[in-house]
Amino acid sequence: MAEKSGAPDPMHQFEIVELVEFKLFDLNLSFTNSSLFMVFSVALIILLTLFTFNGRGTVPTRMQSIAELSYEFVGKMVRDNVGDEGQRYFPFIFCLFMFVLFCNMLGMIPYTFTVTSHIIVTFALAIVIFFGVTVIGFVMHGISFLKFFVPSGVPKALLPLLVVIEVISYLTRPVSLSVRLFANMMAGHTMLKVFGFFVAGMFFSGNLFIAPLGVAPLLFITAFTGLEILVAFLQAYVFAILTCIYLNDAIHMH
Amino acid sequence: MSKSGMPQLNTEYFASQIFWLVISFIILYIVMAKYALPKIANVIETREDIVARDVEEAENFKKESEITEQGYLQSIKEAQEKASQYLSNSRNKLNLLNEEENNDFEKSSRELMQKFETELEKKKSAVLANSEQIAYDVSNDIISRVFGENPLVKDTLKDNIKSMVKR
Repeated sequence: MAEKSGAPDPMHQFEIVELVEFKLFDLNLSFTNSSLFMVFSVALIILLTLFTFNGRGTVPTRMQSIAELSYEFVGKMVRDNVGDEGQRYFPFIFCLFMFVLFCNMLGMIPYTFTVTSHIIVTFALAIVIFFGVTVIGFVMHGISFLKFFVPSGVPKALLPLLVVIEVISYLTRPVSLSVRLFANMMAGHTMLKVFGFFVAGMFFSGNLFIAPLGVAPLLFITAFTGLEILVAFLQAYVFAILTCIYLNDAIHMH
Repeated sequence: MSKSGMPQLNTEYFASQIFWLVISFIILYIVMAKYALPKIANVIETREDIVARDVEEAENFKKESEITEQGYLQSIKEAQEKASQYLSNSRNKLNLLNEEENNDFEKSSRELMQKFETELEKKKSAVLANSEQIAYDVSNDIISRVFGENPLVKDTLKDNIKSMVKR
């Protein structure tokens, strides 16, 4: 359809394409390109963490080092932000970090699909975290978890207002968490695509004056790809560390 | 169904995305929590154990070598003491032997000297006795030739000569 309208569409890369049709009752649960890259990410993570450990040698292989590094990276994150009580949730945080990281990174390869560039995926993750953390809070502290919304050491007159603000800020957590990741991914990829179109358009414009200038967006796109790889890692890190912080709030209150 | 705009807002595939997200994430979680993470933890722990054991072993070796070094220094010290003892012992023995020999030599030489001295004394007195007689004879002869026979002179002469020889 992009070709039909004449102008290339930078959003075309986010289009969902059905690969295997699958309907349950009235729901369309087809296996799509999005599902393919989710499965692909999971497969890569399993490959990295499970099948690089052959000799369980004292001196790790390169791939094994990557797996151990991620393990220790996430382990330190959980330990520093949640403490010892957080160890129970370490596998979940690890999966979360690795899944988002691999989805982001796979999306950096041209012609792939970026799972995390869809709000529904990031929101689903965020809402699970939100409810999970809230349940953990109530299980650990009972009804007194509600004190979490009452800031201490403020004048009584201000309390009603502050409680409302606290509740709203708590409720917007899943939104901010999911939109941050989704928007970063979408914006970066759209930007890359737009500048990619500039490069192609200028090089093949047939105009001898404009064609050499296509080098400028090409250089930009090269640098920007580096930045996007950084963002891909950073957003996975931010997603995981915010989850840790929410978890810490639930376990230790304030 | 609007095909333009953001595909992210197309609700048609929301259910599919959530469904496959849940499936893949649950599979990932099970594999990680049950197999991969314990394995990695085990490998890291084993490595830490090995490293700790190696460090401990190295420390033991170090301690052992220190003990050995001390023993070595001790034995050197002992050997030195022994050597100096031997040295002083043999020096003493040598000194003793020397002294003995010296004493022997001195004793024999003293004896020899004494013997010579007594002999000399004997010969000397014999010679003196002879010389007394000769001196008397000669002087008596001269006196008697000059002054004639005089028994008084003879006696005085004898005394004089005796006293001169004695001196």
